[in-house]
Amino acid sequence: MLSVITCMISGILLGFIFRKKRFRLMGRLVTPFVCILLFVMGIEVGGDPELIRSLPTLGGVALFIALCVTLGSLICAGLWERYLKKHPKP
Amino acid sequence: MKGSLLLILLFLSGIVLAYTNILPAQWVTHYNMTHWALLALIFCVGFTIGSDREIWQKFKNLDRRVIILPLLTMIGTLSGGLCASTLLPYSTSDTLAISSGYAYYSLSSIIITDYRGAELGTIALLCNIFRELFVLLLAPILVRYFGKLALISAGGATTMDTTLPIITRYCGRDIAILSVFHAFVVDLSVPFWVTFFCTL
Repeated sequence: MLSVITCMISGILLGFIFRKKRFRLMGRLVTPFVCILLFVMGIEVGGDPELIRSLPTLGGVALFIALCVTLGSLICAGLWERYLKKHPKP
Repeated sequence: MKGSLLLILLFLSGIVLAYTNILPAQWVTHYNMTHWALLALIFCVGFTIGSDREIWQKFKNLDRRVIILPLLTMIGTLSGGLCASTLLPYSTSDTLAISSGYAYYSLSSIIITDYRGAELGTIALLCNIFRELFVLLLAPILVRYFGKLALISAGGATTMDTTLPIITRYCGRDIAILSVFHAFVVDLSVPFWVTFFCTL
C-alpha cells in the first residue's frame, strides 16, 4: 500500500510540475496498462491450481457473497446520491 | 462496454494460458508483475490528475456531503454481508469477515486464513477478487443504473489503484480525488474490520 501511495503522489507531483508541457502520453498509457494488469491478474489466478480446483466448491459461495456486498454498497451509495440530487445544498 | 469485453477476454485468456501451462505463471509471480503493472498504472493516473489544472476547482465544486461515502460503503457492504449470511452455512461473523475485505483481497484473505483457516481464506480471496472484477468489467452498467457514487462505493478499497482509471473514465475526473480519499479511508479500515469479525 505504501508503494502505491508513493507512486500516486510522485505521479501527481510530476504531473503538476509538467502541467504546462501537456503530456498526452500519460493519459493514453492508462488503458494499455489496465489491459496488462487484467492479463497478469488472470495469469496469477490461472497459475494457482489449488485456487482453480476450489472454484467449483468455494467459488459459488464467494460469488454469492460478492454479489450481496456489491449490491449492498451500490444501493446504499446510490440512495445517498439520489438524496443529494433531490436536496441540493443552498 | 466494448472495453469491458476486452478486459474480460484478457483476464480469461490469462487464466487459460497459465492453467494450461502455455504461459508459465512463475515469471509473473517471480517478478511480481501484477504489482509493477499496478504501480505503472497508478503513476500514469496520478500524472493525469496532477496535470489537470481544473481538477481542484472541480473537486471544490462537489457537494461537501459526499464526504461520508466511505461510511456508506461500510454500511452497505456489511448489510449485504448480513443478508448473505442468512442463506449460507457459515456463521455471521465469518461472512462479515469475508465481506469486510472491501475487494482488498490480498490483505483480507491472509488475515482470514490466519484466524479461520484455508477454506474461509480462499472464499475471502475469491469473493474480493469477484468484487473487484464486477467494478472493472461492469462499470458502465453500474454507473447507468446506480450512479457515480455507487460505482466508487462498489469499488471498496480498490478505488485508488486498480479501479481508479475505470472510475475516472465513467464518472469523470472531477470525482477522482473523492475516489482516492474513499479508498484511503476504506483501505485503512480493512485490517481493523477483518480482525474484529475474526475474533468475535
